[in-house]
Amino acid sequence: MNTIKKDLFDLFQIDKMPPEKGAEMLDRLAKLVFQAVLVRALPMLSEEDLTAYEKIVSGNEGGDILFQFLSEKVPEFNKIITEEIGVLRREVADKIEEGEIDK
Amino acid sequence: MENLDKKDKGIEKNHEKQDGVTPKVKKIMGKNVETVLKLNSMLRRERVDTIKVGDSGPVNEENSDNYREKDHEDFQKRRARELGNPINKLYRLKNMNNNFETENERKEEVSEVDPFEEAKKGIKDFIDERVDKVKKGYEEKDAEKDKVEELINEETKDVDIQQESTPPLISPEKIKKLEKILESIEEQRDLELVIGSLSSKIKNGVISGLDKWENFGKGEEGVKGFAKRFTKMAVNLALIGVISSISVEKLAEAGIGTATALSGGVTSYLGRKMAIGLGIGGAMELGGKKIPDKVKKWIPVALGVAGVGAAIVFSGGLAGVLAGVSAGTGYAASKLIKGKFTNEQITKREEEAKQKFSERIGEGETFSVKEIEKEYIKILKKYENQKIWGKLLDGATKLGVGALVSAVSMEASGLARDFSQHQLIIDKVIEKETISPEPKIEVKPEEVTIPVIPQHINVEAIADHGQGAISTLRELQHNLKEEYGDNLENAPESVRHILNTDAHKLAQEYGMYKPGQDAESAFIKSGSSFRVDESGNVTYHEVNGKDITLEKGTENTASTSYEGKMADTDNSGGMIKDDINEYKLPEQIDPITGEPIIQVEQTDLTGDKYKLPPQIDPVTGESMVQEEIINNDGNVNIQDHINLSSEELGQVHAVYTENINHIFPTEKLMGTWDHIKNNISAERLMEINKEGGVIDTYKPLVSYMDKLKEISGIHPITKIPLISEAESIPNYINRALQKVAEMGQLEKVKL
Repeated sequence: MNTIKKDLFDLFQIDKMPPEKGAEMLDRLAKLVFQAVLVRALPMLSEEDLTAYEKIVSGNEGGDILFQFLSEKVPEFNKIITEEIGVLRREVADKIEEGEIDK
Repeated sequence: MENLDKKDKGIEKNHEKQDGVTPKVKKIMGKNVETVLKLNSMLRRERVDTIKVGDSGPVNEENSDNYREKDHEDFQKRRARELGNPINKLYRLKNMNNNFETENERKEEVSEVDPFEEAKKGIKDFIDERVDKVKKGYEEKDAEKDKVEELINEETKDVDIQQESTPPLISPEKIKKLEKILESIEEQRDLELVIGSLSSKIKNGVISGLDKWENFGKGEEGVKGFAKRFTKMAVNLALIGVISSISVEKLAEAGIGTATALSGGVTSYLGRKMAIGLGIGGAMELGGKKIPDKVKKWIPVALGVAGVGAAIVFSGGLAGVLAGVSAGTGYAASKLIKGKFTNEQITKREEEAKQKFSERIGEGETFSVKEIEKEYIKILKKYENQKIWGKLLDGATKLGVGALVSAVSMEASGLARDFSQHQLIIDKVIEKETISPEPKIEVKPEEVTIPVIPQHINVEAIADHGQGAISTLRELQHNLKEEYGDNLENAPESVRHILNTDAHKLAQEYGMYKPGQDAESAFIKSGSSFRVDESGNVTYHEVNGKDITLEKGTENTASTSYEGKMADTDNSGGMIKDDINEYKLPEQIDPITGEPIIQVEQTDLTGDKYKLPPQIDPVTGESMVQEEIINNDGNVNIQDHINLSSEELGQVHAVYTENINHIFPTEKLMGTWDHIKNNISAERLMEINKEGGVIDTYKPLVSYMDKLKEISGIHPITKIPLISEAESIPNYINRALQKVAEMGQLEKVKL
């Protein structure tokens, strides 16, 4: 499989999977990126902000609020996301190349 | 002056009483009000006249002379011809009207072209004016729409949307391979998280954040749940880099605005990817109900053609995003619905409704002015709403996902606040789950039923083999999952809460787990239980104690906190016996023969003398990798000769298996065990724990290892470069269990 310039969506060919599987794959890939983003972002929060974050995650508000909160509190939050997408993309591309999928 | 104003208002009020029309309606009707009222007046007179003709009912004195002027017989014939034809009826009214007018009025009428035609026109103008007003209002708010639509039309003119939406599927084998790749990365990342240098607070923060996101929109009914799942899908797409033109937090903030983000123009790079709408949209559920196939086909189109880029460029904000939704769905509609819900079609139906109403009048049904006004307002409102919807979707149906997107975008933009019925309409739409060629839009609020929590059977989890609160709550989650499956539509709030919350967190909420305190865990007596009763109330029943209602069925949060006895189960508050030389390493016993496997001398630190005897996997009974027998201080542990019979070894085996199953009760958690047992040494895990870096998932395991260490006195083997590898967790547990068994204390370490 030629993985050059393909993003995670294309690498996993999510649109060519059965709906449920595609949805699951999307969730898992996004979770990997988000995990990596959190690992980098949370240590950047002040003690006070970390407490606020903990309140959010244990509260009743929706998960969407997390992104708003982090983008406000973490410097260059979107840059972190972009970088982590790149890291995962490369990792996936390497593994796909190694696994010789499609050959 | 003020008095004069009051007087004017008084006069107005009197007029209102006379003609039965409210000032609000007059304001809407504007100059046409007089003509409409005249028509009403005619209708009133006609009714009286009909009564006079048809039977011997009361005679209106005022008009009796006029009536006598007509030939009774001719009139009856004419009437028979005219019945059922509203237009003829109106002409008949006109003729009658001429007879009823006083001399002065007649003069006035003569000066006008045709009073009847004017009245008719007045109604039409009144209707058109109202519709135009609504249309105009929307158009003003959506000023950029046309530009966006034009751009999208230009971009998409040569594209076959349906073809784009149904890419060929890849083989199951290939999917499996891709899944395997994903799995290996997940394992690696999890491991990095667990053994990384982050504090446990941060690690738990990461896990909690992921849980929060994972549960976003899960199991939620109706439009809100659907919108959340859509939002999640869009943010997820952004998180993997598919959507880069809009930031993740903007997507999250916009909510259904993300439906736009899911788009991007069919010909664009993003647009092509949005074929996923077909799949993922289809996989999502509306209020627990699967979207029917034909509606599924709508999703990629409804979402896939709106131009987020264009919308953002034009307006840079949510309004633009929403305009994009509207334009996109409009385009979709024009392709698929083919004008079924165009303004023309709606107007046609509106005319039919008005015609029908006129026929009712023609058939002799009587209406007061108020009733006529009410009926007309009803007709207007109904088709006005249709036109608003139609406008939003630019001719698309109200039934199906397109309407849903639009409805939520209206909600998001505040446009929908004027149309309080829209939510009800959507609910009805969801109920119908199909596209009907002639949808009935009118929904009475009283028809909407409030879901009632049905009665459920008791679901219980009993701590009957020494589990703690967390493990028992996990068991409760497992039992509830079996009872409810994935469909939480009718589940009580409490059940949803339990199923969507991590057991550790749940125990914390119930006050049964207080990390950071010396006595951190609730003391659970064997036989105590958690129970969710028929109404969803969550109770903790303590053996020989009283029941505590922890959560009510209608709530999604703990209502009462456990205040009973707490215990220090992880030894965090006590001294862990650390005399590492007190116990010597046990000899490894062959579980089959019961004989020692290898005798090891401990004389110096060189050569192979310090190699561990072959480790026996307590589960498989097979040899494991050789390891060194060296303690934390780098000193050699002198092995004990443990004399365990085959039966005793069997008991060790059973305790080992049961305890691991207990610590990792679910398949998912067992996966984490499989992962950690091969990748982290026992020593390292315990070190991380001392540093406060172990995440909640592994805390029960570490507590168990600490307990084994305390009772057996056996420490994990240390890694010494070039000499030994660190001891794996299963090896360590096995050794320690054997020692404990030899000491006759196996019961003490059963979980």
